[in-house]
Amino acid sequence: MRTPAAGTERAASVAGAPGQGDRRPGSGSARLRARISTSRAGLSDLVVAAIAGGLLLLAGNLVAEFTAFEWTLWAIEVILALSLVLVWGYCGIFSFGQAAVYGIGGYAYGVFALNVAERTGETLSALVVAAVAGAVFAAALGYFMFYGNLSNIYVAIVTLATALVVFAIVNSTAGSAYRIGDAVLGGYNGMTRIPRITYRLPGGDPTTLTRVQFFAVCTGVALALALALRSAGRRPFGRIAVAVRENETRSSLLGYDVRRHKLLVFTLGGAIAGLAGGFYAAWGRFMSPTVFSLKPAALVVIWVLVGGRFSVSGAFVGVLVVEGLSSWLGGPSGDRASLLVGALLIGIVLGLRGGVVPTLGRLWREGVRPSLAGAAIRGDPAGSDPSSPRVPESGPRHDRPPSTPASTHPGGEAEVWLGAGAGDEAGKTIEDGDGAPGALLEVHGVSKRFGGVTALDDVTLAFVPRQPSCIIGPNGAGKSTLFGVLTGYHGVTAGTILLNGEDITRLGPHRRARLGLGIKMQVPSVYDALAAQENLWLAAYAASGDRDAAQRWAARILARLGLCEVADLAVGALAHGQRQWLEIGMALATNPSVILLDEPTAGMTRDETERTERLIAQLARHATVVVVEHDMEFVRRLDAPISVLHMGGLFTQGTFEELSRDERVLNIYLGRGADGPTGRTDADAG
Amino acid sequence: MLTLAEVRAGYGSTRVLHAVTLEVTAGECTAVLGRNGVGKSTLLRCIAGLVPLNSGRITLDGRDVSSLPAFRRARLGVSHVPQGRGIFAGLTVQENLRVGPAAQRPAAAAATAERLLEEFPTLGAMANSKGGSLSGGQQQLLALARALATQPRLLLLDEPSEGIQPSILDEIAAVLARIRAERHIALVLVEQNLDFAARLAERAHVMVKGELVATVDTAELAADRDQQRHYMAI
Amino acid sequence: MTADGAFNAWFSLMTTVSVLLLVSLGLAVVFGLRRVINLAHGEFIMFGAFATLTATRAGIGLWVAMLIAIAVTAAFGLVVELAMIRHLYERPADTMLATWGLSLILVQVAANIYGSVTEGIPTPLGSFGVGDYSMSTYNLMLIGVAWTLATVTWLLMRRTRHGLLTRAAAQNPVMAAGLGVNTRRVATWTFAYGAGLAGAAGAVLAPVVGVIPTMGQLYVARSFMAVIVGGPAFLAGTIGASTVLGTVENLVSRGYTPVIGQAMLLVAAIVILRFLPQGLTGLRQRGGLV
Repeated sequence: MRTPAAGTERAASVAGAPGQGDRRPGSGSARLRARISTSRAGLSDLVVAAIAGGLLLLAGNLVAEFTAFEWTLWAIEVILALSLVLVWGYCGIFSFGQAAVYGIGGYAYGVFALNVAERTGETLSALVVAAVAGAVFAAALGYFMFYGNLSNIYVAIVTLATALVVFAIVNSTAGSAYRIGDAVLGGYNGMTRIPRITYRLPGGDPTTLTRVQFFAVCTGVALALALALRSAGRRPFGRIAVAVRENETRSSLLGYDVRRHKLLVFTLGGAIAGLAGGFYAAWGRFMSPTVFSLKPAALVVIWVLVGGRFSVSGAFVGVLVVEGLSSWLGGPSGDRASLLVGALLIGIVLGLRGGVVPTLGRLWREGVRPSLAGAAIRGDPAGSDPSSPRVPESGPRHDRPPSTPASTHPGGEAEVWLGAGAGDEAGKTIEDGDGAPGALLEVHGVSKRFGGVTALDDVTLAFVPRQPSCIIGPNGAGKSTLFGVLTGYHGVTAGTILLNGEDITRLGPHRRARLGLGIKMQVPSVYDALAAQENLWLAAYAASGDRDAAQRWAARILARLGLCEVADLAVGALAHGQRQWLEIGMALATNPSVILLDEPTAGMTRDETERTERLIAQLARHATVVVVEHDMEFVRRLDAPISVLHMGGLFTQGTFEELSRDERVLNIYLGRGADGPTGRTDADAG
Repeated sequence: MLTLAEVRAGYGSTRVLHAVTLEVTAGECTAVLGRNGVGKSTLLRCIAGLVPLNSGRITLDGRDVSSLPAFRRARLGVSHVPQGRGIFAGLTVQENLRVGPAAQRPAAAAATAERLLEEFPTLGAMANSKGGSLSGGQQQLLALARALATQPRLLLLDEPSEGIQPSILDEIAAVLARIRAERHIALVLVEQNLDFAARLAERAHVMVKGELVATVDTAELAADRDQQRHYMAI
Repeated sequence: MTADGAFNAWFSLMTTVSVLLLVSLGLAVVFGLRRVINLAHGEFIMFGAFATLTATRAGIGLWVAMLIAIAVTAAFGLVVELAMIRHLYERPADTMLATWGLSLILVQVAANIYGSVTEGIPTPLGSFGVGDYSMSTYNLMLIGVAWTLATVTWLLMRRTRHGLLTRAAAQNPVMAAGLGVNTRRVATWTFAYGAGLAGAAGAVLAPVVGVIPTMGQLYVARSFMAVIVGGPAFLAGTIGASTVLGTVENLVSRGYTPVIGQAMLLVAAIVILRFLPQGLTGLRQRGGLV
């Protein structure tokens, strides 16, 4: 669903993109659409905001005071919508409770202002209280939800349920007994006579804002907040939030503390919604429990949906469109508004092909929101970093000879690094970012049982640095379980796992990642909607915590993987082989001491498999590499020590030549017992 | 009775099957052999209707079923026993057996289940146990019995021998041989266990990276070490 | 506490628990079996209540009116499933949004038809006394209905052909389809049945609570909590959760106010989920009854 803002911005950014032209033979519109455009996003933001702000202020002064009064509400609603854009759009938290936090902020303002305004002569402090109340409420709720690992859908239900319960509570506080200080809560009658925004300069008199001034303030805050969110989107905080939204598992595997991040974002969203609530209370001078009910909760979601979930400017669009329509149809409390809102929801959900969320995701991938994808895309082209002269010369992009589109034949640099002859040079450059030669990973007597099934039986293995190690075995041998145990995905029933002598048996994947385990899963788990460069940056940043160093490191790896050409394409558009390499690159970017690869060549062509083999050989110089594989040709070429698993136990070890001559190994691959067709295998393993 | 013509299929953007052409006649047992990850399971799932085709055709007794949903193919006589067996863990053995007939021939459902429990004494002893509490071998028997409950004409078995102890394996092989003879069912058997496959199928197709590259005589293959090495192993 | 006092307390507790069970059953069926998050569940309850009200106003006897209301609500559920829900399986976010939209529309339509203030149905059956306490006989019936419906659901699932197919489709829809089960049709009937249960809740509650267009909102939050806290074994889970949460609500309500009681219900639910994210029956098979 296209919104006006979306179309304009994309046009602007495509026009502004340097040298990104259509030089690729056969590149369909799909490629173009999938590209996340670089743009002068920062500048255009400022320009748009300044113009919009100017216009609104001008208009505010020109129109009748009553109109300004109406428009103020819209500005306040934009602020509320922005809180949901932050929480849902940026971080993927499906919160139906923003309106409830808004209400809490409003009541907090009311209570505080009613008690304090007369004494201090100002109510700005009440605004602060409103924001803080919103933040505290969100933090408390968020703690239980996120640290309880509630899935997104449950988060939605719980936030909605909370809103309804708050509604019931506040609704019942009618009667003069329910008061906090001088503030009577009023129950379903509402809290009345809430003071307007009043400030007082030191030594001066309390001054109440006029309606026009109030309009200017609210609009100003909305614009400032929009810009701040945009800016946050470019900073690590925002980029990590996006990563959490796009692929929580992968973010955790990179070492990010996903729960903490969600809590932070949710709390910030609560502060913003609370602030909006404070403004709202001051606007209408009245707070009623209906703010906690279903309809306002739905409205916030609708504004954001209509405007585009990921879009900061969409918050403006959504509010204006929906509220404008409602008011034209007979006022926000009118009958028809409810029907409109309900019909809009159903219509959007059923009408959008593929559903609301994927469609919005598609909009995201089509490069509508460059700012949220990070400035890295617009940043230094790979290789122009003067501090690493040994990086293969790639130059600014438009100097490179045209090559076939994002396919299995990346441009020149790939040959340099993934091919023969570049070995030492590229290898040394990796060391720029990493000094550790790899760690010793050991597995001692590890067993794993799932219910009655013994998947791993007393396995003891050691993976030494400076060379890759392979794990193979027939179907059902326990390879995947072993991998799961090494990554921390599965706990062990018995035995220990040591990393350089340290016991990591009880640690989950997120903690192991922090200790230096780089993981590549069997099914590629990358950020499909983000650019390749952003994927690598996220991995590098997780390990280093330094935005610029991570940027350089990511660019270097990008060059080495031969993915410069497709650096700003959404990863979901890349060929399967490239996505696999990218994931290996991400494992590398975290500066790991151990890299675990589960079937890295799955789905690859012969050509891609060869390149992967070289890549892994390079990796092994700097980290302990453990590869679980099926592809025997690949295993042969890798020329690494091999451990063969069979029915959950370690069957034998050796080089490829030794094992291929071993009759017993052949037998187990044929499903026979180790001793041939008549050999009885052990008791039922199933 | 079953033909596949130039079938291509996969998951999302990953192409798994490349131009697979295959024919199976009634009463015949065909094995599909190959290493892990080549696409054998996907082939069966495609025939069963669980994976859509990118191109190509599947016909059953001359009727084009390429776009029929899975449950309609089941009602036409296709029965699929997946890897992992797909037992309804929360239902008892008896209930597991009744699901198919209850959906297709409701009147005789209970009687069919009873009869199968007699035919498979191992299951009969556990008629009221929950599916999830059975061992792997017992689950395999149950899956097989369940597949037979709907009087199928085409039976698709995905690695039935995996993780099964030899005694139960014998029982399974015996049952399959018997029903093949009695009911003229066509069997397509995906296996890594060469000897088990050789017991049941005369002919085997070898699959490598999504394509059928050769058709061999299973008895020959079982005896020839070099061929085995070439197709199957390390 | 005296014996009759104890009985009174127990009776009050049972009433709260049973009401919670009653309003949660329909949702448990639909969510537990097919993972459909029906935010319009409260409005189905409201639908049943209004249907009962309309029927009684038309002169039909109360009990017959309730039966009619149940049938009508189930039929309405059928229509909703065919028109909307069936396109949205496996898309929980979209299902939530769409049913939410439906709920808004239903509330508004009800308000348009009936206005915001309605005359209620007088509570029949009078009261009975135990010792010094007098309790409503209707509540006794309510308790009976709640547990009867739970039992009926159990029997349907356990002993009928349709129940078997439904359970199979819930546990492993792909395998069920592979055996010939028309999972689409099973899903439709499941939803309609859930709607019927919600309608029954509304019908039975109509003489006891105020029948207003927004009545559904009072129940939707609590029933969702009961179902989520219940966990994958939907029937046992909902019964267990209703008991636990209902007890919390009842005890707190007696000590403080009903509203605080409801709030504590929510708090209890969130705390339980924090430590048992899969719910009370978390270790059981999904789609299993117990």
